[in-house]
Amino acid sequence: MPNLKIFFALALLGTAFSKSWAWLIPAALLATAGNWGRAKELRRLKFWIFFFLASFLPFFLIRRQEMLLVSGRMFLRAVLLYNAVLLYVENVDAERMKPVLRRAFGERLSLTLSVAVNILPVMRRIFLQTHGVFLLRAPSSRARLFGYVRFLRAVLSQSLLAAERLAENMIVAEGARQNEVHIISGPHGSGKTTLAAALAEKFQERGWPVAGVLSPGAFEAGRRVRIEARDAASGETRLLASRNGEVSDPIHEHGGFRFSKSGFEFAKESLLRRAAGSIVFVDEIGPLELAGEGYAETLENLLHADAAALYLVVREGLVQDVTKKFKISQYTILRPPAWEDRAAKGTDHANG
Amino acid sequence: MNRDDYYTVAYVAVFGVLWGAVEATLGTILHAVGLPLKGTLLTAVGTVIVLAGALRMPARRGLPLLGMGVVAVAVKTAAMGVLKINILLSILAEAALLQAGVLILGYTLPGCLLGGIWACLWPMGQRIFIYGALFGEGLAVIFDEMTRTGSAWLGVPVKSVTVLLLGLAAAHAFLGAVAGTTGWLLGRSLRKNRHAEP
Repeated sequence: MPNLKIFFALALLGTAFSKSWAWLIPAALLATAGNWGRAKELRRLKFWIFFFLASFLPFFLIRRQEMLLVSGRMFLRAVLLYNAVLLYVENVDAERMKPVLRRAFGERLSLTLSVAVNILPVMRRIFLQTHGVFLLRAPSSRARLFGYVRFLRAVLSQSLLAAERLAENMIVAEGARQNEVHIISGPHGSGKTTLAAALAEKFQERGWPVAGVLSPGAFEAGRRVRIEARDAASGETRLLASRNGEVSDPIHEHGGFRFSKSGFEFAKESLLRRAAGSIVFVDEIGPLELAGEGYAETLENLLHADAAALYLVVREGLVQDVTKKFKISQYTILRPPAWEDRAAKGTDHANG
Repeated sequence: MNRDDYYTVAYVAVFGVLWGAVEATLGTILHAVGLPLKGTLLTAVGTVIVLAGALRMPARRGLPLLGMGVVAVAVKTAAMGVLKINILLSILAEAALLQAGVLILGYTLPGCLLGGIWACLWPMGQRIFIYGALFGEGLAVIFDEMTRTGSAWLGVPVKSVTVLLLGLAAAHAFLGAVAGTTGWLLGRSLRKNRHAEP
């Protein structure tokens, strides 16, 4: 039934595009009758007076027959659109619509459109306030003529301030939504996992709940040949990937490594097995996750979950790609080369 | 999304709404008054607004002018006034032409001039593009109507088609150049004095 009402709302929007009175009048009447019981505004006289005055303002300003027709259509369209919005708001689940909008317009444009709808009242206030000042300062017609440019400039100035406030508000809101993220980054073999493991150990020593997965490697002749998945909380370990044909249930192949299906499942379970407010380690986020595989889905959930902080291990050169892909706007970078005295600095960081 | 993306979203939304509001309010009044070049006048005001906004953006990522056009279309659609598909398509086309101008020559005075001129030439070419290409109306009929309209405005015989068309194009381009320059100047002055009071 809600879907049927949404289609009815869309049909009302469609009729609003018509210039024909034969479409506009019945559609406006039908829509008003349909919403009469639900919307108390429709039963108030002042609502209709407001719609009438707003629609017929151009006719009051320019008294021509053509303007009367335009204003009449405007009034009917106002009624139609108001009813369509009522039906839409009542029957559309905004949370379900968000992914649809994102798919249709892309994330940035869908956000822009939703912001645009929300700031309409702010823009109206800016316009009216600036117009009031303009009228007070430029009472004569000549001064008013020159004042139009100043008026436009003043509106633009106020709009700029509004845009900047809006951007800052969105940045603050995003920061509040996202967990504290630390990215442990450095070149291949620089000790990223060692740093992550040391931090996890220090946090545990201080009684902080730690969760997640660490991926220490086994080396042969300076070359990493084996990667393990270690549960950061329990220390339990499973084989995650190998170059030596040890993996019997391969799920991915990347960089010469064959990744184990059971190893990945164990790692994902380790990531999910966390207490609220815990510090979660994810070792590591790389090309597999950038392609939407590996820990990608789990990480997306973790970023907005109840963790106190996230420590992500990311290879140098992939940090930008990872932060862009997973929309991590605020983060700090920890680099293993600065980790000369591991115990001491790990203690400092854990204390911090 | 990072910090710059949020600024882009906010600027595109605010200045797109402003353009849409001008199209909806001033557009309805100009439609009723029946001024010559009313579409171009409207485009010129929109050009000033979006160029000033775009010039003030901290980071001009993607296609901000086109984004403002999309927002303006959304506002115009919900504005209850004169609703015509070709008006909505025209706003998008003007935004795309403005964007093309500044993409070629940058957010500089020449870029704003080029974008402004192209955008303001659109109302002259829109009948041919939209009615001709979309609705299949005969191009000869449109051409005939345009020459007659120009003849009435400029007081030149209909036979002087070339002069008429050049005159019309020059009038549109002049308005576009004025709008582009004003947008650029306003954008620069707003950048210098960001907290200007009305």
